[in-house]
Amino acid sequence: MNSAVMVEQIEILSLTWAYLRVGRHDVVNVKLEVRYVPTTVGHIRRQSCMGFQGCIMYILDVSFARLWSDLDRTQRTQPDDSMPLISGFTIIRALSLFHITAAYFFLTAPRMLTDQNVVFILGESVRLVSIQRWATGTRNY
Amino acid sequence: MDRPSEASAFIAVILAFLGVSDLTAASMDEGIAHQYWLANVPVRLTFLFALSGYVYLFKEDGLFGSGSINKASIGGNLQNSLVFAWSFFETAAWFWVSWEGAGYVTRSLLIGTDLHKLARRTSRTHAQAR
Repeated sequence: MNSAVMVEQIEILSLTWAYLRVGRHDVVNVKLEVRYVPTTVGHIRRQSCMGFQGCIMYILDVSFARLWSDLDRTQRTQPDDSMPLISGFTIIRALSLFHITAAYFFLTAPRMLTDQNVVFILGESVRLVSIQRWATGTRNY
Repeated sequence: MDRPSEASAFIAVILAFLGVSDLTAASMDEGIAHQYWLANVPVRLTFLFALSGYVYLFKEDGLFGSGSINKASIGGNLQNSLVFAWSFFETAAWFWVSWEGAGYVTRSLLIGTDLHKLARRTSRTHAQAR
């Protein structure tokens, strides 16, 4: 497989992501933007800005690819109304609810939190003191 | 942490307080909320990253640790798996929030909502490129 085919396949993949993400109309815009990126950036870089990075950016909805295209920004007629899949406020609300839940468990049964597997695994992976029930007050490595 | 204690009850109060006030702040008017969180999230990120880095680097056999159990540091009680896991995941979550905030600023630069003036003022590069 030569590099041109690879670039094309990556582009197809990213456009599929973009289609799932924002709908067909914006995908047309995306394709135009890829062409309008200044050539000084270089061929491979120009293509790959909608490749793997493009996939990630469309999942996380940080489209820096649009910032790189100065030409298209001035010629844009269609406003970019794509919103992130999970907005920042949703994450903040989820975090707040998690904090309140954690507060409840700290009040009633702190064991629930210290005995979580993920706490154990993260603690062991950096060789920290475990405060789990069966290892209280001892180094368990 | 085996049984509910005074310390864990106090943590519960602090955490619930934090959660309720964050819920309130996330439900503010959108323009104000963006300004608030764009100022607040980097501070939290810095704090949590420093906390997890401290726990990792200053643990007993860490890079800057004391090396023996006899010379325990002041923050010795912090250096356990619960604090590390909590600060690690909080760092990741707030980084996600700041990532979405970067996306918001990017979109604001391109279409111009409430924040586009702020974003243009803060990023001199884009103002010159324009």
